Amino acid sequence: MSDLSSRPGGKPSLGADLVIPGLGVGLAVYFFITVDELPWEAKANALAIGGLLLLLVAVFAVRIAIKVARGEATLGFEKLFDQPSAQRKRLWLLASLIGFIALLPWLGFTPSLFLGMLASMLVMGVREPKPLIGTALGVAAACYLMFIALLDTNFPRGPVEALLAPLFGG
Amino acid sequence: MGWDWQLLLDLTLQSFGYWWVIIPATILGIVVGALPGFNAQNTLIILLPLTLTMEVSLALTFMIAVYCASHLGGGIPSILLNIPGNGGAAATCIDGYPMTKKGLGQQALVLSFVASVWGGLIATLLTIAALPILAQIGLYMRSVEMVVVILFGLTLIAVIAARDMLKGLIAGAFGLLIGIIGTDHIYSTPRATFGFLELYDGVPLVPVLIGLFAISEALIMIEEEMIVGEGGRAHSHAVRWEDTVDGLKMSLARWWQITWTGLVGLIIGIIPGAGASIASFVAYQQSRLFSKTPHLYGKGHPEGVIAPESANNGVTSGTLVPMMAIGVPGGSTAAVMMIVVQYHGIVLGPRLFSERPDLAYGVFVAMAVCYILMILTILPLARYMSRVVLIPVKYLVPLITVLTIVAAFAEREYVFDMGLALIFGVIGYIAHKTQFHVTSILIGVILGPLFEQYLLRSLRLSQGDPLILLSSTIGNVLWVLLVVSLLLPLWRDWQQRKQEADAKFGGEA
Repeated sequence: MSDLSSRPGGKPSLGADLVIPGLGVGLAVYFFITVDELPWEAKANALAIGGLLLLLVAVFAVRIAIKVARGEATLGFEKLFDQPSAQRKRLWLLASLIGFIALLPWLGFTPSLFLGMLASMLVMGVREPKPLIGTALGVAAACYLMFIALLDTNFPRGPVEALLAPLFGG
Repeated sequence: MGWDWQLLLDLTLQSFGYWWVIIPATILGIVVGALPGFNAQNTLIILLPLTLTMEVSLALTFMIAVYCASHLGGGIPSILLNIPGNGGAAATCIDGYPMTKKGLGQQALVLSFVASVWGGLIATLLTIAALPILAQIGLYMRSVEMVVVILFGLTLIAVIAARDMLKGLIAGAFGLLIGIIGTDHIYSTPRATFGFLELYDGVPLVPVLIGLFAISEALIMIEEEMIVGEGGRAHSHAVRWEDTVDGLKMSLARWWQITWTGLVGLIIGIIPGAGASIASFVAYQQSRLFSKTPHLYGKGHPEGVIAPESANNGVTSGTLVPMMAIGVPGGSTAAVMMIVVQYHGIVLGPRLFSERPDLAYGVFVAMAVCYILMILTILPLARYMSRVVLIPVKYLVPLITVLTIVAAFAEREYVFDMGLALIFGVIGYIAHKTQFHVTSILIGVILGPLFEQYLLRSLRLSQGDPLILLSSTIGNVLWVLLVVSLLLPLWRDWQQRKQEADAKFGGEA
């Protein structure tokens, strides 16, 4: 696997390394705001852990700042945005998964799952109709049998589940 | 406290009675272990809807069989393709692949299977023998000690497992903070819930697990067309399983080496965060050190296959020891198991040995039985193993993402949790890409509520005085160890830099 932390022949780009600490700082600050007026028992942990996290992030930020100031690194985000074609696939895959979750309450479990699988495979480059539809249908049918007919979980039901209920139950 | 022989006998018979679960789980574990980029914890996550509905001892037996078999399966692509199925099998490549190139691939596979099973079995039996003592350790742990144990566990994971200690510590603290989202224990006031009622009970563990491991891995997998390259695909079509008997003879002649390297795996496995990768390399180095033929290592030496494979499976029982004895998972697969057990309302830790001895001992008895049944399963399957790497990524990624998102619904049956899994998938992806250790985040999330509970209990006892955390002897010893474990890598780095600078200066002079 290639070293993703730097461009070939260039300096390591460390901007992306600040995303997780940034999320941590955001959560810690938000935590402090929500516990501000609570009794000490309710905020002791948030202050202890949040304070520790802020301290660690501060040390980490200083470490990066020193490297950047010395000219040994840049604040680029190449680590997260390398391979543009994979990046496009990744974003479309996430979009199709969000679509699957959004459709679930409207269409019901089985058709949403079928469409979610179909969209994900299209995003990944499956174009042949037989494996495309066959796999999506197979997964949706297997999950219907397992989660609705057999385990009777509370996945949202739609017209397909209503139609199949007299045959398989659920 | 001694052994309850009747209980052990009952548990052994019960575990053998689960053969119908152990054998398919073993096959599944071997397949996923052999699939690079896929592992036991991902499989267990995908199968959560199944294990959550099982009776708890059956679910644990199933998970243990998958776990142990995946450690064994990881060696198969190491030997045949020079691609480790998992981190623990990386050291196996050093001598396994040269054996294959010499035409001894089948013998190397058999060596790997026998070493894995024997090493794993010996380590498990030793753990069972030591359980009455390990159970006592937990009784000395009160709230003050537990606060330090949790911090020490997270620190060790950051120091040993993460490539960058500071990133590992940040990941652990970030996880702890996520873990305490929700209402507080005393006043039930919501904290950092972003206005979502679904987060009042805290952040659910299953979606976090699914997001951080399965979805993030799938998002990374997108970058490849196939899991293995063309060369690897050609090899996987050509494998045979002749000379199996020869491999068995080689293994039996080296039984003592298998035994002691398995114990190296057990000891390293007990340390939270150390895991199979470290154990297998340490065992390989130690084996080479004490070998009569060290010059043959790296050139396709059978001992170089035995040592890492035996240690890799010796780790399996060691990883579960801190989880069972003090309720702190030693690694990510143990964390998945802990989540399933907690889902059934069972609290792991010292009380488990008195309240549910069937589970506390049953886990290790089931592991021993799994290893016994595994050797009978694995040898006939040998020649088909390497073909699992031929599944194209364009099918794997949709299957992993969609099925794991479905699994996220299983714990609480909220559609919200499916979205949460996606969010943690993106966080996990960023963490993977920037080398923030995702296991540290996950273990932080798991231990967050426990940490809060123990810290609060300690502070209430002392009426808010934080110095109570320095009031216990065991706690203070752990504090010292924690500080030493933080300073040691820094000191080593400083020494290394100094040596490099001296060498450079000497060279210039």
